[in-house]
Amino acid sequence: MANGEKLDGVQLAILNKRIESICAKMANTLLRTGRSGVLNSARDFSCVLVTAKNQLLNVSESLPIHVLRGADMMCEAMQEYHPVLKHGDAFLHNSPYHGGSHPADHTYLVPVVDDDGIHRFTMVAKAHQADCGNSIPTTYHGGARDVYHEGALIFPAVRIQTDYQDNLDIVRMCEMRIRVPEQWWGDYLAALGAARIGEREMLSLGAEVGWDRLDQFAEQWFDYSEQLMASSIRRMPAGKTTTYSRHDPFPGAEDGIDVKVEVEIRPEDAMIEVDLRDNPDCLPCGLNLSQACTESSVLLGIFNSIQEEVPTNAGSLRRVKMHLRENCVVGIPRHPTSCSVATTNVADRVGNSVARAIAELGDGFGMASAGSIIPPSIGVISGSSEKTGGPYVNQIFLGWGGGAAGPQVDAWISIGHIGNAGGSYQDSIELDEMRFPMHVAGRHFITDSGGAGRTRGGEAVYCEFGPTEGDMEVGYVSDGNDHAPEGARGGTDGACANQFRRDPNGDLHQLDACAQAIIPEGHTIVSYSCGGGGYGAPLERDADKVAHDVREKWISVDVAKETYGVVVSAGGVIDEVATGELRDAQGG
Amino acid sequence: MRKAANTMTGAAPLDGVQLAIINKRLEGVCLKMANTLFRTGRSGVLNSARDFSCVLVTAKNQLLNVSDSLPIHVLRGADMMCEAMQEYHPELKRGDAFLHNSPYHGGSHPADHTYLVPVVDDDGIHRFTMVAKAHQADCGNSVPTTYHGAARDVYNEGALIFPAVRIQTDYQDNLDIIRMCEMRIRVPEQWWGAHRRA
Repeated sequence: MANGEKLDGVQLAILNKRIESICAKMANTLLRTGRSGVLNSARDFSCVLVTAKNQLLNVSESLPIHVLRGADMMCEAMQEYHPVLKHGDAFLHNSPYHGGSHPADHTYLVPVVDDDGIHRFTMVAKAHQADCGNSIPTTYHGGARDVYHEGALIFPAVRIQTDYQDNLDIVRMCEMRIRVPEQWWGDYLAALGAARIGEREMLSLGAEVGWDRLDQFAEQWFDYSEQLMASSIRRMPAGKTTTYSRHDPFPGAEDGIDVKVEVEIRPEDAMIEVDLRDNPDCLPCGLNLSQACTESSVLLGIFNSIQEEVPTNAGSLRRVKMHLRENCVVGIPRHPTSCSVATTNVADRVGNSVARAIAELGDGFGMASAGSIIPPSIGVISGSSEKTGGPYVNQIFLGWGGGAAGPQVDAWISIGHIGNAGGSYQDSIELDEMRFPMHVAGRHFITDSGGAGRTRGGEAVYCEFGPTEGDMEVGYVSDGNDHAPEGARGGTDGACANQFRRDPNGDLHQLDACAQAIIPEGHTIVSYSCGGGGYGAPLERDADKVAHDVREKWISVDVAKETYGVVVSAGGVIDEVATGELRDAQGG
Repeated sequence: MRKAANTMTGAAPLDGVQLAIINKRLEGVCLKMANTLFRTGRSGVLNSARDFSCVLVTAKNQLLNVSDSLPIHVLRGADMMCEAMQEYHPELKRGDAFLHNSPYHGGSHPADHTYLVPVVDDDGIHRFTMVAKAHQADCGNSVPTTYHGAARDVYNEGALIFPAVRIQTDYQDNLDIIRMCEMRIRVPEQWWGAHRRA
């Protein structure tokens, strides 16, 4: 297509950085101007650049589960439904049946149209909403029987601006059906503003560098990324293996959801193939994955084992082949299957299983499982209060740990979950207490909750909070109450999740794993997140590191002895002789 | 007693016979609308139960004819819906059509999808509004009924709310809105049939 002179390495690197900085400007805009805490505190959004041919070009400011696949498919739907794209157009997209992740991820697509009216690129700003109009006040409706029961408004690439002017019909529809509409409106302005900033910058880059030159760059950058991906796969262990995982029983999935992942690495032809077809059909609940989330979860499991210098884009993605099935819970859902919780629970089971499969194929590769979510401490809170001047709804991000142990290093404890890869922030207690009628009674890591191993899984987080004015409804969908996040290659599992309501007398009452819990004033909700799995045999962990873990209270003296074979005082002083004897005995 | 010439229009007032004739002509127009809806509605709600209303409203949003209507549908409301249409879309053009079901803007309840078509003359002046209100077999509620008695609020209810949303421009469908309905209304082909007829 592009017939220009080839760019050299330096030119490629410079243009790539220019484009990265455009996405960074978009992301800064969204973070600084988002009205809901989900955006301005937790950073639950992604800013992406896609080519006019709907190829993913830059995801440097993104949560992997949002966009590794999907941004491209959403742009495809936009082009299919709106064949004539004009300067000033913008589209709202959140349909999981047209490339979207889940309906709570409102995505704004802005086509970059040059002075000759040619569509060159599409700027994508995806921003998770505090509310998306579900029939219950949570954006994660685990028990939704179908998309109708779920209740969200579905926008399959709906034109929301023409000639830079809002389509007020759509805005009014949102105001009628999304809770706390001023908050949605603020987030709309922020996300669309971010996409418009990206558009302005791309137009200026195109004018400066030339559009053909940018097309040439994209082609070469894809080829270069593919080469790096291929050489990374060539260094991976050959083989084929199958891993299994199981999502907890939830309403509509009373037997739990078995997930089976077949992974084949073929270093000789630099390909990784993943088969998800042998899995259950879609279920009458909100846990089904959209196609975008199915593919993204596979990819993030793989990319966690790929050298970090490999750019994630349509070029590197060419080295991964996936086999999916229609009407499969981890495949391609058929409308009206609900995908309300598609970005987290079952997607995490898929991504973690891919990472563990790679670990099983070779020591030094892959990862253990990261903790399952979404515990009450990451739930959607809602109610009405004088403090908020009426109804409030927001997702809080008060505490999640549970990073997966890696092949060489301990877990990144506060990763959140495998899907966002640490891209989201955790809330400040003080800011949440300032914004909402709530008090946080405690938040801390839990000793011995990370999976043991040569490298240690991330610890779980304890969090307790409750309303200070009126009832508070807390919506959450906490997988990992029954089926713990798995360790890899002899590493042990992370701790399971749990949740209770504490009454004013201090007594604890068990809560369901998937619920809209009503917490009356004077009561609190107690949330235990999952720990992450460990990697490799605990006995192989360096005794000094175990002593350090004890000193820092990550693990107890007892676990150091029983699981790691290290006899150590509470102060972290090792009994070398006893440790040697114990490790010899335990190691057989 | 004969009135003086109409001060608004400058025209001579109509006599009783003329009044009766024009009234019957207008009734005939509404009857044609109703027959169309009855014969072509896809859902049983329309083609068997005749759960719809066809109404004529003036450009000043005054209810003029309800002869082919269910009283609870339109004795009040058709006028208010037309008001909302004019407020949100100050410029009405020939070929426009609006979908309205918002109980907060003059609608009865969200299951009553109402199509408002402004009658615009050759000089571009909005003269009347034709109103066809058709009760839907489904309107996207969170439970499969159009009567969600236990709904805590409109969110829990689940229906899509259209506050006089432009669904046609120049007689062409706004496919964005059609696709949104297809995503969130059960048995969308049935809704599509009702939409075409109404």
